[in-house]
Amino acid sequence: MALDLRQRVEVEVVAGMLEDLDYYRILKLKPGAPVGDVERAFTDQSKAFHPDRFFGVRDPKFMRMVTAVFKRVQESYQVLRDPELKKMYDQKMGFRKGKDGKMARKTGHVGKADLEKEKASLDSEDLVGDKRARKYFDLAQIAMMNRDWNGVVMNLQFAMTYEKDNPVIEEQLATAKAELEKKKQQEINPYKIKIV
Amino acid sequence: MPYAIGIDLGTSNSVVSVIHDGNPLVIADEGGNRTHPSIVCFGHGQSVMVGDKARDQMVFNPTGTIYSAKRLIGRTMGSEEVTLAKRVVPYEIVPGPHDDPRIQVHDRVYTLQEISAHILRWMKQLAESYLGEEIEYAVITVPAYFNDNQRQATRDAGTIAGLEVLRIINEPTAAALAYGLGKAKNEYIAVYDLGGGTFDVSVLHIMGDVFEVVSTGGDTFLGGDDFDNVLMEYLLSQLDTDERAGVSRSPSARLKLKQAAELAKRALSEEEETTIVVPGIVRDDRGVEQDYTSVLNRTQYNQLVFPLVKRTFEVCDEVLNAAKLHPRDIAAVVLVGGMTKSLIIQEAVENYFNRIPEGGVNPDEVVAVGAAIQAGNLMSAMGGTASGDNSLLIDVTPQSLGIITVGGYMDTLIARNTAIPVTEKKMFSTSVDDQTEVKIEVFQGEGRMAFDNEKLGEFILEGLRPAPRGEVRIVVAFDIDANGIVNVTAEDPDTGQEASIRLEASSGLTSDEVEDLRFDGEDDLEF
Repeated sequence: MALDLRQRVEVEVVAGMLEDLDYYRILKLKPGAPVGDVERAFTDQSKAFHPDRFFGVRDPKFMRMVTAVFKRVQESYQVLRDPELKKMYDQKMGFRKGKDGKMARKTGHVGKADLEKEKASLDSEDLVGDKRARKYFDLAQIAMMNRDWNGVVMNLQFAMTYEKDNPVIEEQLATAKAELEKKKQQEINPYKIKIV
Repeated sequence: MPYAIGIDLGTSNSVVSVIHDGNPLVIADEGGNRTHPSIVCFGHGQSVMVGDKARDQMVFNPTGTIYSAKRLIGRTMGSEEVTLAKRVVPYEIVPGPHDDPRIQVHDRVYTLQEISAHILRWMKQLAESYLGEEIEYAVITVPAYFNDNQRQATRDAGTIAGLEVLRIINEPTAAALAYGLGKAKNEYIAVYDLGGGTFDVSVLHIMGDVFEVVSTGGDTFLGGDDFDNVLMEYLLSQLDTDERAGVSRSPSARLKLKQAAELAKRALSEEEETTIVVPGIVRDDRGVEQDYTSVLNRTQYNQLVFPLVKRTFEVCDEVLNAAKLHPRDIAAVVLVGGMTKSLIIQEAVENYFNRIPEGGVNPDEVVAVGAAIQAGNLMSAMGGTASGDNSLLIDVTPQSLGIITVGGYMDTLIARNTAIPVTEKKMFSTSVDDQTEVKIEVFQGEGRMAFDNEKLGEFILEGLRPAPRGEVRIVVAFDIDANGIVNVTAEDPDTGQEASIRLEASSGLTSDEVEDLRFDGEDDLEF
């Protein structure tokens, strides 16, 4: 298939600049643009750079470039569509003022993986002071996502041994215990499937 | 631009569709049937029958008529599913050289890929007949939860049938595409796909003409056949020990039992009670064949199949959790597959999502139509005519991919629900002096221990230069392509040269074997 020269050049240029393009520029958005614009930008850029757009091109090197660009388009979308991750990204990249009212100096590209890690730890840092308690608290959050109520109870109880009188831990523990109780009652037919 | 067809290669029925004059068309056979039984009948000599004709022959030739081949394709002989199938099906399952199950009919042994290829070729011929030209290109669908071996085997079946398989796409994704195309929707939808042999549920985010899969899950051994099997077990349990032994030994009796179970299942969606008659399956005191009769009501049936139905919603829970969504976030539910016409399923789905599933979607045809649309997309991209009007599918890999590490643990390299195509690289080095080979065992699944997961095969890096241990390094790239199929390549990071890597201990066919099996010219195919 004859590849449109303009398309080829665009892919090569973007692929060459990937490290220097921030998440907004990859999506062809103005830096700091609102969350509402992100989805539309993603659909436009994914249609332009998805490997299927170039289906049938027999140039493995070129296809690797396309795939790399598309991967970055996706990453940008995953970060910018999430209000919390976007806020963190904007602050670190100097697109908005931080909590202290100051604009940060641009520190270079901040990756999605790092942002997610930071978000996860920030969430619990505010809620649980003791580091050891926080470790079990975080495990309990993961268990909660998987609806593993036994795991939640166990980890929260461990957390409580390091930090007693924490209202958040106590509240979550009560909720988890209630869920376990409900589950015991409902165990037979939790989805209320009509059998009689 | 040549036509490219979309084929829904189903466990019980197959459908073929094509975009004709800009509209998707489902192709019917001479009898006007738009769905075609996925049944292949091997008669004596070289004759092969496919579809309705094969199904009509079934009761006369139970050991030579193969149904539900999709339940076996891409599996290993020792797997639970193959063991179960051996107990139930009237045809003979024997081990192949790659530890894959094969079917023996009289003195010939067939691979599952060949069986499916016969069905695919039939679909190809139906399309050629209707369109009046040769068809080369196709998109074939598979359950979203199919693993690498199952996908490869399906693609090989396409090659054997004489097709150039543009893409293997996931059934729920295809259904979503057919449902949402041209409707300019912006919403989250769930596709609940309960077919003859498999169950999938996918959550998608539709943004106009971009269809993004958010999460997917399933069970490749949970389908209409299992609902039939439960009924069959129940009917068998009503017979006394001798009668039961008699039925188990007789392939034709087993087949009659299955057909009676299927009829009963359908009847109970319409009526509160049904009388099941299995003709000539038991013998009375004088040795004369008698019919076995039983009455079953809807309540009894619902109680029998309850564990199966419950399992589907456990998967729904997992998939919604992975998407970080709640059933109320789902704006539309699309039902796919014959089993979703059953009353107990419809009620349960409506209850779970708290909404009525989308009417106006034909659960039997929607997957083939989606495949045809994607076939059109890929052909126009290939022909350089892709435009902004083309839809885009962004699918994900349904299972995590990883390798086995010290202690037998699973080291995940690519997590499930990661968008495809995707590549992850890992550095390997030698652990003893002068080591010339490195073995990498690749698995797919979510278990913590590697052996709780499905082994894809062993990749051997060979021809490494002898050197002190740790000095020789190789970068291995694990790539999951847009078909959801795994490719492993290796490169010497110092020279940039491709390192030699061969695949072993895989249950699939080698490319030479596939070439050898290719149908050449017209074999004796009775229509």
